[in-house]
Amino acid sequence: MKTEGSLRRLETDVLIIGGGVAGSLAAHEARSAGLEVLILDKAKLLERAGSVGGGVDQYLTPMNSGAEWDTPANLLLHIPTLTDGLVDMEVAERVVHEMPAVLRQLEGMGIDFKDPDTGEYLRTRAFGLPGEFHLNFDGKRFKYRIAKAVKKGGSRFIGRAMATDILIDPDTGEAFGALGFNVRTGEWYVIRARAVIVATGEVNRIAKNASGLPFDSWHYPYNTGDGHAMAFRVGAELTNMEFVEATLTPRGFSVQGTNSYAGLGAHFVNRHGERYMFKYDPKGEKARRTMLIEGWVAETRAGNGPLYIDLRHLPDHVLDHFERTLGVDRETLPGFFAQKGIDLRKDLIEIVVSEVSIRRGGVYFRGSGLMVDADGETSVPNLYAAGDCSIVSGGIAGAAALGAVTGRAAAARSAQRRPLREVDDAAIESARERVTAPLSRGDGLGWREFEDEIRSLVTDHLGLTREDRGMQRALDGLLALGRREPELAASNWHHLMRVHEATSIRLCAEILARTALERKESRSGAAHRRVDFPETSEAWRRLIVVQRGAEGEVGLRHRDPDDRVSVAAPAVASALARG
Amino acid sequence: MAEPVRPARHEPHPDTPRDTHNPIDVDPETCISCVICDYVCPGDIIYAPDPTSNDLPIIKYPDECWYCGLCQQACPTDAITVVFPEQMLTSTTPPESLLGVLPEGYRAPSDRGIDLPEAGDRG
Repeated sequence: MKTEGSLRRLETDVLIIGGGVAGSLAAHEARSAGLEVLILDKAKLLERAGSVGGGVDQYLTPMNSGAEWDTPANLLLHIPTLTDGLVDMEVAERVVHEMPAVLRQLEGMGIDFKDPDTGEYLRTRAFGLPGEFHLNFDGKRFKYRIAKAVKKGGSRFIGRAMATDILIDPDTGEAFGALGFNVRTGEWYVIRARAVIVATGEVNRIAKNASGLPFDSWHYPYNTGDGHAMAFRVGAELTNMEFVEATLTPRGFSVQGTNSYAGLGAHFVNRHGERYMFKYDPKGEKARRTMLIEGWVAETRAGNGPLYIDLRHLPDHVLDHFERTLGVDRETLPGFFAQKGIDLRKDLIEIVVSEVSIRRGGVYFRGSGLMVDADGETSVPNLYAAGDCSIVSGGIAGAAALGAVTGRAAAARSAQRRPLREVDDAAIESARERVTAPLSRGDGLGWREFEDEIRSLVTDHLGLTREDRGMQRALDGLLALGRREPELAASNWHHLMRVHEATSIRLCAEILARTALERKESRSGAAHRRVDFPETSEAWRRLIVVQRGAEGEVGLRHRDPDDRVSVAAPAVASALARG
Repeated sequence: MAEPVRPARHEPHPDTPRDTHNPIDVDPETCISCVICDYVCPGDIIYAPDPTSNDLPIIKYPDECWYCGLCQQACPTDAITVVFPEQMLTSTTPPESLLGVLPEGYRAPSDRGIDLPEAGDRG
């Protein structure tokens, strides 16, 4: 079978790049509207594609259970505060109002959100949310069941496919497809579509962690900002790219689960045995994630480390539940504790800060990525975005809700069935030459070395310590790396995928540097802590909008986040006014 | 005739850094040389052997493993164990080194130094 270099031409109504939760829900909705749907993902199986292909144990949603707090409207009232004002409320409203319906839809796909012991929903409070909005559940098969439903519905899927370019109609400026290649066989895909949805997740592998292994990351290390980079190159606007997110993790293994510890009542203690979080936030261990990082950083700087999670005071039934669900988010976490010799019932668990990523700056409902309107459409016509690469990031629930909204909107657009634009074969050929150039460079620059350099610059100057000169130094280094991109070499298609991931990571790091330099204040705890501008300034309650300039440069503008606040939500508007 | 001896580990791709830890331990006694671990791996790290051979799966890109354990979970004969490297089990990286550095000679603009400001810490 010789497919290397061969080219497959495909057509669809809705093309979805990224088959995680957001992409899958978008597919399900668009297909339910009767449209043809094609999903691409770098993973082989849709069932296992995306951040939670291995399982997830938390789902954030209002449920309209009858409790006063348990409504979309109440959650929305708190979003301006949760996001420190940097949110597009019109999009957030759409997403939050969608959430209860999407939950029912997921239950219809066979996902059981109830606790197996009690048969009831187990809801916990964490991350500064104004109620028990987190559903704690056994989501080991969560993504698997979604994928089964999507495939049963008739969406097509191509795995091991990396998209490299979004096709733009030069006359209208509209997106009309994408180009990509198979990461094993080298087969090419030229896909024409009536609407394109980018759902490629956040930006990982951008900073160092305690193990020193780049792929040992809290979040899925194969999400590398490819969608951010592709969309940036065709002129889409991004925002909130200056905010980074980290978590607290058992030392040596960057893994999900902080919310489970915090939600179930863990104590965070320093080496003196003191529960230190109340010094930094009245909510203690249940503060927003960015404040948990803030507390860890401050205690470590004050010499109060090592810092630990203490579960020993918890009642047996809570510990039983905890142990049973320990491997739900990450299959291997029980094995890690076993190989390390830790007994959760008897031992303290040392925690450290994870690597930083560009995700949502540690707060819900404020994503770092592509700006979208309430239909999920970016500033490029016919190009949509959902999930962690978009400006509304609310975990898997936010991804599912905006995914569904976006899928419906893209379907409505495609339903007009306008004729597909012809592709310009010369342009395709030139894009293929650019993408494959690293294959013919022999002993050029390796992606590992290139990425290591990015991680050093980001960790030292753009992570948890930010100051003008340091950030400028990092930016200079990132620009120098950019000039070396034409030296990057790959010995096969798999490595070619990694090379292009590395260039996406570098571009996102450059945008991070420029926007963090631009924002001359501190905001959202550890997400943007400038030692030279330690205060939060009301004048800086504005978005830094990123868009590619005429020469390909990273251009910056400012925008008032309230520009698009819906007039239909006076309560929200007044909450915003109160700040 | 005796079964040919199955090598316990396969060589990673030649570009892999030397001495890379193998995160995916495959039991040669129980592995049935199917393709499931290859299919479920989200990082394109595990390669199934030639189906006509009796070989073990190839852990081709061991340094790109996320330690997600999908292979361990999906293996129909429980032949896979995810094994953590020493640098994860006993990390020697000083936690402070993850906090970043200030340029030499940096002086904070106020007495507050790098203390936590109150504003913006609403939770």
